[in-house]
Amino acid sequence: MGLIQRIIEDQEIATVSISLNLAITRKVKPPRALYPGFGLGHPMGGAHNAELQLQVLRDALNLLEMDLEPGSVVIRAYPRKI
Amino acid sequence: MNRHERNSFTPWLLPAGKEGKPPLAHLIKGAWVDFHRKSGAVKLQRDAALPCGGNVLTLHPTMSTFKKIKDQTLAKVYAKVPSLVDLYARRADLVVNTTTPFTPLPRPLRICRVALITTAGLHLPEQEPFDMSDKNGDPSYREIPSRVGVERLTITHDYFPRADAAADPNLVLPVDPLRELVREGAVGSIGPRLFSFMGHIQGDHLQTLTGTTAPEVARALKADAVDAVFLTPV
Repeated sequence: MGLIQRIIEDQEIATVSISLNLAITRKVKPPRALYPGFGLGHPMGGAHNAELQLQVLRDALNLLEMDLEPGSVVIRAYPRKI
Repeated sequence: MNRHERNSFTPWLLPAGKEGKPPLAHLIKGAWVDFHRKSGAVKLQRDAALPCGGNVLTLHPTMSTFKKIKDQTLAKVYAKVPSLVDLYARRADLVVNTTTPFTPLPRPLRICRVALITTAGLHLPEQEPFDMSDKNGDPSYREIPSRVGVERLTITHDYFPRADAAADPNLVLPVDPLRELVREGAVGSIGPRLFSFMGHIQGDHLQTLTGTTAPEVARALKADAVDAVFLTPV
């Protein structure tokens, strides 16, 4: 997924992604990523947890407006249920 | 011969009104088909209507049931034991990059057009499923209209624990949360098209992904005047 992200960013479209594994993300090095600590198959947190999904999306998109180093991975912990 | 022709069984007949149910005359074959359809290993496709009534249906086996069960079991094990994913990350022949492209957001997010991409193997029921029979994955993609009702989306991807995503596709493609941000005024608008890939691309397909399909999607996003993209792995 990071490879796709890099190709889109290369076409001058700003991108941000969710990381589910720091080791993989650090190898692939996408332009920006949020690591929320969720498990495989759960990039937005939990099924039918609209509040958590909204918060994760809001936080990820906000990274686009922050002054981050290229390749930054922002780590943030979320409660299982907000 | 394309993949579907190669994998297709001999067409068989179903009486009118019995679509999706194995006919009595094919009881044994029908039971076999039904079992595999429930497992998702084969799909029935209506190829033609017969003049005398009924339909010609063709079975398209997508993969062996054994492989499907094995892949889903492994995915659940990896999900339960995150250190296995770390081990995979250390040992797998992953692309290692030391630099990254970088494009600043061109305008405030509140007036940006945003699109979504997932590698969860999501697609509309009427779209061709991703090819789970190829051990190197399927580097193609599906376009999903952003006005879609997420409950319509289905998943063809066995390399992650997908039960929760199948129950709520917003878990892997947050369409409804993005709509909410637009309603709030935090995001300007949503691009007309969202895109879905299947993760776990290996071997020669990596070249197809990075050289062909991903650049196609990037060009489509440019054509849609998208300013920013949010991507989700599984």
